[in-house]
Amino acid sequence: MREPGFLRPKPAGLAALGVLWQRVAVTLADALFIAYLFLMSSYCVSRAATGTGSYLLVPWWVLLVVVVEVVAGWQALGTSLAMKATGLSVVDASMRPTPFTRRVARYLAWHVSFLPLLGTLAALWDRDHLSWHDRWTGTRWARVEESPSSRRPWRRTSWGWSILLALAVTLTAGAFITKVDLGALLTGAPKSAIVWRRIVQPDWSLLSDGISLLTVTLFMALMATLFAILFAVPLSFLAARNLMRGVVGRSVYTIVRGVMSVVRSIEPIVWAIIFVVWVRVGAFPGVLALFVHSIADLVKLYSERLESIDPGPVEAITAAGGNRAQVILYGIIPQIINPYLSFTLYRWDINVRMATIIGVVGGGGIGNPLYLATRQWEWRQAGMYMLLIVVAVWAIDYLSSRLRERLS
Amino acid sequence: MRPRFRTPRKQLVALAVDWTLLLYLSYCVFFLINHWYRALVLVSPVYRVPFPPYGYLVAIAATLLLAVVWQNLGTSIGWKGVGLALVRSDSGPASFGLRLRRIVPDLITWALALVGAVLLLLPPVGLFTLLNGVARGTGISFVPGLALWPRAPWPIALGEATLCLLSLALLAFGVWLAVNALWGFLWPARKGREPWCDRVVRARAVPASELEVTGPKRRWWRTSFGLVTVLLIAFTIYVGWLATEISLKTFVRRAATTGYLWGWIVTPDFTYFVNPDPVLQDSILGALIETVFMALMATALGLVFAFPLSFLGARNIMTTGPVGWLVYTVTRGFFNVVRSIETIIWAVVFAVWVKFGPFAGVLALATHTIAALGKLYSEQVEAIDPGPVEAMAASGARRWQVIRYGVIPQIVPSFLAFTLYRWDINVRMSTVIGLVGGGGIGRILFYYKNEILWHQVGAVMAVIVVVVWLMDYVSGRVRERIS
Amino acid sequence: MTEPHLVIEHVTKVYARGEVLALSDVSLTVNRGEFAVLIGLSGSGKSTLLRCINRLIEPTSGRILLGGVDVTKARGAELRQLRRKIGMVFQHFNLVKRSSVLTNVLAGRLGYAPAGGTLVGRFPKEDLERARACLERVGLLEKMYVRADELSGGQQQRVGIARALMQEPQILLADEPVSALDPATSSSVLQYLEQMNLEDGVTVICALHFLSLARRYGTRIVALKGGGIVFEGLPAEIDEVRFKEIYGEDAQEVEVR
Repeated sequence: MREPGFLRPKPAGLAALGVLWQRVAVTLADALFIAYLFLMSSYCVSRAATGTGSYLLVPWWVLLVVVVEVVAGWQALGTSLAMKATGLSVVDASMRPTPFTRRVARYLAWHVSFLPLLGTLAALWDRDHLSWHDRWTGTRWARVEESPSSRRPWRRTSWGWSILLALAVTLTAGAFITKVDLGALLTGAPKSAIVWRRIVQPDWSLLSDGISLLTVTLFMALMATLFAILFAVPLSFLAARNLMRGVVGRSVYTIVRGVMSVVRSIEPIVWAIIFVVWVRVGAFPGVLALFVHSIADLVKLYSERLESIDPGPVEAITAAGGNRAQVILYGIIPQIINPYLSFTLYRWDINVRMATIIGVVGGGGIGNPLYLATRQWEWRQAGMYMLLIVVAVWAIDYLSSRLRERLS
Repeated sequence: MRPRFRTPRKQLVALAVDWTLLLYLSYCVFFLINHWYRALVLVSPVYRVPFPPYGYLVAIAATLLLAVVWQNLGTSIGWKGVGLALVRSDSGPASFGLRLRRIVPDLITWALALVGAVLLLLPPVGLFTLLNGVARGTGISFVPGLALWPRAPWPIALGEATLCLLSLALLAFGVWLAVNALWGFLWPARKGREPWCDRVVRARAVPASELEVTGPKRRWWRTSFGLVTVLLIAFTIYVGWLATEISLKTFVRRAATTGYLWGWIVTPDFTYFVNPDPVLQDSILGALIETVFMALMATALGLVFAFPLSFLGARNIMTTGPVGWLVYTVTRGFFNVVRSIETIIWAVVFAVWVKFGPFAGVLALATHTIAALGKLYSEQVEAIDPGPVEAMAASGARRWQVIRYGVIPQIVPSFLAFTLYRWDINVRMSTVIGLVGGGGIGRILFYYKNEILWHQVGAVMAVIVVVVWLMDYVSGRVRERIS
Repeated sequence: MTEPHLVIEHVTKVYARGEVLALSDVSLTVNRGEFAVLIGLSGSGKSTLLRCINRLIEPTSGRILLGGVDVTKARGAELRQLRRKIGMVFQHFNLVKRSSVLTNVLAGRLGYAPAGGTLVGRFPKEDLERARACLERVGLLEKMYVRADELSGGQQQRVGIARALMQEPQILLADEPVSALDPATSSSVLQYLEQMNLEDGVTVICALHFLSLARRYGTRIVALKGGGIVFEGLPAEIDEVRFKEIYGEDAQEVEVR
């Protein structure tokens, strides 16, 4: 049986870092948060005042001092955001919340113990992991269960307002950074109205050309998906944590997962750019780009499903003496056929959407003529292609969701 | 009127599926004929084997015939998909002779049904023609190109219009009677009897789950639907390979000449990571911040608009009256259409509106986000537990109160999860939207690629990978915490 | 004949780097043909002990001998050969839901059938005959081609027993086989186990929740508490005092026929 926690010897010295890392992490998180608020606010202010944004209006050491002061004050006088997230708070020796005067005293005492840095580091060697200012004011860090009666509505808490402030600052900064210009919406409206009027009057003479382009697009998506299944299914077994055990297994798992993550992070369009350089413009690079990305996405979906299979049949067949292949074939595969098919249909749907635009970078299909039409201000042609795209994507979306309903 | 027109929907769906699949197969066959003719006779690559105009009709009729034959003689993909099976009226297994005998009545049934469907189109076409004629007569241009009569003094025009309306009403009534009789004959569900084609040969179409399982399932290669599926996949791969011009030879041959660029990409050059590139007036880090904020603003905007729209697109809230149905249909239609057009195309359109730059990207992303989130949200609203809503409505709360206190608390967790999911997708999209003038890191990527500065391309790609992976990881963890 | 069939020597199982002790120095001998019943509270180690016997769980220390062969040291093909002599029946049946009853029962023969054939789903003809016989024995022959998840709980457990029968095991481990079933079905399922024990001479080790069932079917009772054995003996020897020792002060006996 376990020994009660408070009887176990407390680690001292640098080993105490293992226990105290949470406090350090919380302080760091708060510091980053305050720094973010400061930087974004300076950007907003500088943009509003001078028209050019700069993140640092003051020397970097001023930023540092402000951050440190605010974080320390916030943590001492109230509940900071990171403290709320992890459930830590500052309490007195009997685990009850401290009165405000004691908190102020703690904040002031913190200055004394922090400036030579020794006071806070002393927590590493202290018997109860208290730093000097904690000792002097009789407070400590602890994780305290919040009782429903003591839970205050967010409007009266500092962390609640800090979130609101962060939201406001972020959105304002975002509006500046992304150059939101509502005036442009108004001034550009007449020109845009012409464009829209032409788009909804498609040029029907391009119908047969559009349909053959659409066919190529659909085939691109089909080929990419079909061939991706071939590679993704075996790879998914290598990327499932519960199947890959042992030293060799774990390293294979890590490598496969890592490579797939990287491949997945690069959008198919970027892959298409690379493949266009490789095999020249046409539908082939589009197929390759979708193929590569699909493998990565499918492996992620498949392996996540593999990691949550019902272990019962696997147990039963192992207990009956089956070897690894038999366990997979009889215990795992019957469970996963339907989910795998469902994910494949989902991916096919996405591939069709991607295939419609991959022509923009030279990947073939309907994307290319559509993009050219928009460049040449032939909006009625563009409207025709867009109409075909809408019909095709809608149909396949409907088909895919109905089939997936049937599978589950 | 409705019960008389109720056809066995499953058989209709099954026929549609089978017919479409066979049409697709015939398309593949024609494609291959074209391809092999070009390859063997060595004509130009755009040459098409001359196809007679009546050929389309022949193809349609032949595939319909084949579909009906297939459905009757075996279990077609359509019948397997909807879960139907053919048995004798006394529930015994259907013999081959019975199936053979059923083909002709089945064909006649579907041909007559087609006739009935065409007949139903007559009144609307007539109304449309009439309206257009009236419009031309009065001088208002409705739909150009379809003129019925030239301008005439208005009493004569009015008289002609009234006469047309009367005859149209008579036509509609006649059509209604005819179609009623026809469909009542073919599918007398009201009288509780089997469809005519089944009655004539003493058979029944029953759900496949009702059949007793008396033996092992037949192996897939001995069933017609299994074989046709294999055929379809094989044809698809072959035709797809040719249509998308896949050429492994080119791939391998050019790998040698383009291998160098891989080497350059994986040795990235980060000189302009923090320092702005003089040509672009921006650094990679600056563009990255722009990209992330683009995604943020788009998600926030999308969230704000999608939230109210989702209630308009939820069937369980909206469909309490004809106005509600209309609003629901329009909203759902809007979601579907806007969702079907990818963000990049929206970016092109918005770039025309507000000029190139990150704002166009934000607008494009936001538009697509509104539609996508709106659809996800409304599906969630449709899936709530009706219990609390019922209780609240029964206690006399108003509609908006029911929504605020009964619906919203149930959907907040999944809304948050979907928003995070969408935020993740928006970050990915915003990395490439710069390609078409949307701003962000895609603009830089495209510029470096055009200038063949592959080391810089590698740097940008590395940054994209790190950021997207990070966002993916964070959103995944937060979604785990929520559920 | 009372020769020892299964000998468990000083088996200990520790989890989470010493924090959780699932089994602590368990030693037990089961003779051939016995119907040994493991009783105890949830979490007392019954499932863990059963799973250590066929190495679904690796014991941290100790030895298990089955018919003289050391199970704890076996690896690879040797372990699989040992496992096919050990049949197992699970609390939640552990059938492959989407497969037919026949396929599930045939899976019991996977340790014997040639590997190449099973990878494409072909089993030898004798195995098909054996499967029919096993299904007939548990009374489910007419459900042979039905999907496993379309059966009731009791029927699914009988399929599990048929699967174990296919192995022609020397010893059968039953991990709370009737805990997920209602009392009426429990009796009939346990009767099949009793039949295997008496007619085929299979040694049975069964973990049960209800003491009345243990008394009715067991020839020997082993009680576990907190990972260790607190009682070992005949069913009749458990009186009120012993009962409270095993199950705790607040426990009361419930009669299940």
